[in-house]
Amino acid sequence: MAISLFSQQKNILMLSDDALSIFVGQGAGVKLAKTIEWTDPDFEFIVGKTINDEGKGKPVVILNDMLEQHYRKEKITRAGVGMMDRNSMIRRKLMAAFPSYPMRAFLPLKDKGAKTKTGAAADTYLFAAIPDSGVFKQTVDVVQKGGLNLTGTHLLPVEASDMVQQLAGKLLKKKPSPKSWTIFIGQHRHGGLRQIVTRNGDLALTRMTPMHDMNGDPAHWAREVVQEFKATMSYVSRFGYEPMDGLNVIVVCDDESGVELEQTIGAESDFFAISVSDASKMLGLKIDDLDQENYADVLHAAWVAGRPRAKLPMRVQEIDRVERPRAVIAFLTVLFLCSGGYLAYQAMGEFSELREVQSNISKVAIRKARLTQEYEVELERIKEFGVDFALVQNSLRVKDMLDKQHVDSLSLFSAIAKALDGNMTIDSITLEPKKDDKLEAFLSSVEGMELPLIDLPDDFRYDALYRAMLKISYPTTANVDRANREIRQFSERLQKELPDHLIKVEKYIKDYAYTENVVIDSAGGDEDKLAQDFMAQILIEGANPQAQPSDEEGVQ
Amino acid sequence: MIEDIGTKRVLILLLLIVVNVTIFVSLGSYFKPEIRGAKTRLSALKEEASQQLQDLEQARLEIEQLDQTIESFNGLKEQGFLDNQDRRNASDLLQRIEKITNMVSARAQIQSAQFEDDIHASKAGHHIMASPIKLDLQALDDVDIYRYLYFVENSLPGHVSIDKFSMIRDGDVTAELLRAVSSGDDPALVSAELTLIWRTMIPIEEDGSDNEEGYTP
Repeated sequence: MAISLFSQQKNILMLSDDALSIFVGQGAGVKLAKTIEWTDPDFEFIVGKTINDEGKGKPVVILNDMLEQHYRKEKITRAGVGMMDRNSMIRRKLMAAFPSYPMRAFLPLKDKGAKTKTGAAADTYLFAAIPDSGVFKQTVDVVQKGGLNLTGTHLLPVEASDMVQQLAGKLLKKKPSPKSWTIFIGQHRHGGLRQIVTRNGDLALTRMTPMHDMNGDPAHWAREVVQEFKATMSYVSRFGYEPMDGLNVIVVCDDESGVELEQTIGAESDFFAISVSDASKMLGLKIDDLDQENYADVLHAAWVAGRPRAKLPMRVQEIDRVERPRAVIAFLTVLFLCSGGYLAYQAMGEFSELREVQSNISKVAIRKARLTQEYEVELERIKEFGVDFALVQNSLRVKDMLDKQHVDSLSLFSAIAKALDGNMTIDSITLEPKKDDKLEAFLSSVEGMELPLIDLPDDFRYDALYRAMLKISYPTTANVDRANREIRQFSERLQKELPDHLIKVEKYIKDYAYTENVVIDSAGGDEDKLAQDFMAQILIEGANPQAQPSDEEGVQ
Repeated sequence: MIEDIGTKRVLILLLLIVVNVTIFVSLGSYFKPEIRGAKTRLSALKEEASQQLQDLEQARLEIEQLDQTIESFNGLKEQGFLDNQDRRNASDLLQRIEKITNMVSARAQIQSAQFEDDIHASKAGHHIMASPIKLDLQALDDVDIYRYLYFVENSLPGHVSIDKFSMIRDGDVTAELLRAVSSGDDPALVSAELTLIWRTMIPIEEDGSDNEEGYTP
């Protein structure tokens, strides 16, 4: 038998009426370790020692093979009961069926009652109960005192029903018909003859009857078995057996007894007499140290030990009392195992992150050291210049700004000189820088800030704007139209010389629209008045002339 | 109870609890603070490295720019743009210009210096010293005025700019004027009033000259 990953090895304590048989899990199989009578004075010591030494303290399963086992089939209608309430209702029925038995359980059977005109559809359940006998308590006490893990209490006939079905299939080499009946007969070492009747894999009937030692006369043993078999058949007939349903009889015994039995059983059936070794091979079970081929109890123990889950686990108060705290402990263990794993994963992550950050620190420190080294080299190079870089850059910027704000007066005078007619003379020139509206607007937009803190935008133009006023006088005898024409022509020549400038004749001669003060002096101020009338004014506004020659020749 | 449960189970559970608590405590009291501290150190170090890189790039830029600007800067220094304003020398210079340009008369007044703040000058630890120069000039020809202005703008150390310029023709060329010229008199035909601003850039520490007296040569 292959070792299951999901079913742990178990020690099986088989309870019979006379003695306790201890089957210990060993490797992939079981072996009979000890059989102790209930009355043995060293019962507790021997059982504890055997389980701990030979069974290595593995979990314990109690397999009840005693005579007093109570079964009842119950049909429970499906109508009117919700899925959620069904189990509690069945439990109530179970308790009502066996009120005085503390260990009870129910098992749904394959046999379903179909819906009929008179009745609703129903499910069939097998109700089972066992008494809280003295030997059971004795066994549980030993297990608990030994600190062993009691994982369950099972009924041998119920657990064996699947084995019987599987064995019948192997022997028939086909799946047994659902209608056919199978009777499994086996004698137990310190029990009697256990007959298990199944139909469609469900337990239909079980009987335990005392027997003589089967190692005696095979013919005598066969006669006794036939007698019990016939009694069983009479029960089976009452349960609805018809010969046409089919009958399989499997008897565990040695070859000689089997031959004897086959001749005397006298029933229309498929008869199989099989040894324990052959049966275990067919079922894939492993039994160690098998000394007797004709005792079937070890086969049952091996079957139960190999099953990951019991078919019908019985609820036992003694087990529940221990199992609940154990379940809590197990839950906490799993919980802390998971949280420990998670925390370990977290710690690994944090450790990894710490290592990574430390590694990055080292890399950045190395990089910084390299940069510092390079910076020191560059600083040495700057020192070689022997100047203050900030002073160099900023003094040049200041000078550049001042140069841009500088009014290039000589270029302007040169342009005016070029535009002058040979006959014209200028009486006066005034020149002053003009406030830059753009700059003023910018400064007002940053009102409240200290001017030194303001760094003008890089694209800001510092063009020196200026405003110049030329005054040209004519003699009072001059022809007004001609003089004004000359002035206009002069302004046009100026415009040509100063293309980006505003050239505007502010006042022609004899022009009273002019805004300057008009002097009216009745006491001989006529000369001033006349002089004022024959004075023209030309306004020039703009920035420094572009690419104007600034040589003195032009001015002269 | 422990016997019912199993000593081994209880011990395993206790061991697991101890392991859990140990890891949990180490996470909270060692790893997290350590990582936080390391990240802070890393962040500070990165910032320092970044600053160092900026300084390095700035230094390289400065070297490159110095290569390009050092000659202009030396020119500025030679021109006296970074010197304090020596009014005595300026006075001598104006007198020489007056003679060279044949001024009939020239009155120059170098007024008290003012300090102008400028962001770029401040960055270099300097400020701008600005001294207004008021000029009353009289000349036979306006060309002499232009020449005077040209020499002042180009001879004074630092930077000179016009703040105000006004030039008036005082008379016409007449026979009397020509006779006066021929007899050696210097009649003035043109007069001009100018206000110039003379600027140099000086270190802020040297600003003891804030209330420098005006000077009239």
